[in-house]
Amino acid sequence: MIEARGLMKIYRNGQEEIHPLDGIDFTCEKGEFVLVTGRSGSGKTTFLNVLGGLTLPTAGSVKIAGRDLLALTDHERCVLRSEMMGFVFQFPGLMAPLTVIENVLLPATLMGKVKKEVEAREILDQLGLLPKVDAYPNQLSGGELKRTAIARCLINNPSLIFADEPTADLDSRTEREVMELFHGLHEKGTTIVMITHTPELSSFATRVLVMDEGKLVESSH
Amino acid sequence: MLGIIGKNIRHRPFRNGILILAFAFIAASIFSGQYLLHGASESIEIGVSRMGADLIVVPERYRMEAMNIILRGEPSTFFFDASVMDQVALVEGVEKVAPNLYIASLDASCCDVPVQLIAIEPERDFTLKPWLAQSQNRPLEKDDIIVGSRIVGDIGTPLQFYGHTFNIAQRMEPAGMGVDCSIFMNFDDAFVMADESPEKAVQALLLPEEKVSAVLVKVKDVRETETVAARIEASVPKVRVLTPSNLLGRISSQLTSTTNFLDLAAFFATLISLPLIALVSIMAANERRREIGVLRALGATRGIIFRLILGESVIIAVIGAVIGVVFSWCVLILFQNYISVVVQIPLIMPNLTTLAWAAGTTLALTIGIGGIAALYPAIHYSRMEPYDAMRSGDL
Repeated sequence: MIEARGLMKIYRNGQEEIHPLDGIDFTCEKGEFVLVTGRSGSGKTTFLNVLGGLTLPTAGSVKIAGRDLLALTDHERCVLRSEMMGFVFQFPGLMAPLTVIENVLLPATLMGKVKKEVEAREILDQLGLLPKVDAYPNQLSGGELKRTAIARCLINNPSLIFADEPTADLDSRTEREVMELFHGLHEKGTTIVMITHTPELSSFATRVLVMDEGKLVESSH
Repeated sequence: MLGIIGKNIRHRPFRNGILILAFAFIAASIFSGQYLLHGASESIEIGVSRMGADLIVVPERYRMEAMNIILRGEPSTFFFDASVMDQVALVEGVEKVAPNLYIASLDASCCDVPVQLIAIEPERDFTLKPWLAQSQNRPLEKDDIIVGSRIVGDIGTPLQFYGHTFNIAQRMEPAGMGVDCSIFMNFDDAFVMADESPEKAVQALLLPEEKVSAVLVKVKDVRETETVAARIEASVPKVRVLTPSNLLGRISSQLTSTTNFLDLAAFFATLISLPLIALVSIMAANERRREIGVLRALGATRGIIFRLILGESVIIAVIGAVIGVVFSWCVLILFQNYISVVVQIPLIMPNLTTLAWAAGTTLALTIGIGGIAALYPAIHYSRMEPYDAMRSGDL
């Protein structure tokens, strides 16, 4: 499903060079649930974004379902993201002028697809957000914002989900609910790569990776 | 896409309201300039074509006053000897002549300000017919008057001048020129009014016998109008001849300075607003970097982001332009007469085709300005990598 080879990412900050990714090789089979942990600043978020094609590596290659992201045009990468991938970020990233249901439908709206309002309501129901469909982001709690972002990620029925600390800032009960949701998706065959700071969540994963200073230093099943 | 743009605009009402006002100001400046230009041009065109007379002979010293009567209806009283009419009639190329007597009215019930009374000899006059509405074209009877379009009162309404009561018999169609504020009457009635004025009016009107204010001339061959004018000035002492080109020239110079001023206002409005609008667009896009990054992650192409940013600016420009055009149109219609007096040009509402063209041009220019202002942020932020946009400067 994912094959990354020799991933390097270098940022320049004046004279200083920063290497958030320093030669990473990574493979993820279809249907895997991979957790990536590590200290803050170890390069986890950059890693996830490179895998998702949200930024290109300085060196190396990434293949998603056999398609080399670097060989694709920007437009082709957008289409691939829209059709295959779902993203949940550290921040909810909802559009403030749109209601919950409009935010959830946004990926479909952007691509000019037929509105999947019934599906959106079903997903929101599963996430306990049905009473909030017409609410605006500023009327939601932190947990509700996160769950709306997850619902938005699921609307196009992605086969690959990249989640960057989706349970950060959530209370333990909501955290459990969110993780059970991801577990359910995984059980249905969705491939998941998730970043977390919470070691307890490793029970949900098929594999746990640890990153340190831009390298994958440890892997456990 | 339009729905998202609309919601984005509504979400920031204060900032976008200011932008809409800026666009409205630009649009109003552009549209007003076009309105005045076309309104004045059409007014002159209609006015000159309906002047009836090919030439107007007036006393040498009163050339400007005569022009002001014809163009703006500014009341004035002046005379020269009636024998001038016979001298003019003898000039080579003159087909026929008719006298006019110009009398500035006192205050009257019809009007806020004194109006120009013009005495004519109906049987000799050849100038008024084209001005009259078809249905009202009948001979003048005793104490009948013909009123310009801006004189208040229905047909049959009595109006008093110098204590003498007249009846509105006919009304002229609007021309945007002095004739709109003028009142025409018989020579005989004018002299009766003058005779009665010492007893009936607060101020007596003195009309000397055997005097006229202007001689209207129809030439045999309109191609020789300027030549005939030169012949009259050469052969008749102490007179000046007004020709359509004189009148056009006088209006054109006033019109040019007015439209130049409006063009300059529109130019400076654009010059000042464009960078400000561009700056606001850049700031707006910058504060939405993360949102742009998320949209890209959700599958939005560069084209979609480009259209979202540009579309928002263009829709704001369209709203501003429509407000600016409608507002300035209303102001121009409501205060047309006042504007005409202030800028000293004849003015009527341009025909609908011209107005539609002016509104369309204004809309296109304003949209263009909106598009240009948002072009840089639209290109810049649509080309950003999603992750770079989301990081908002953090590593």
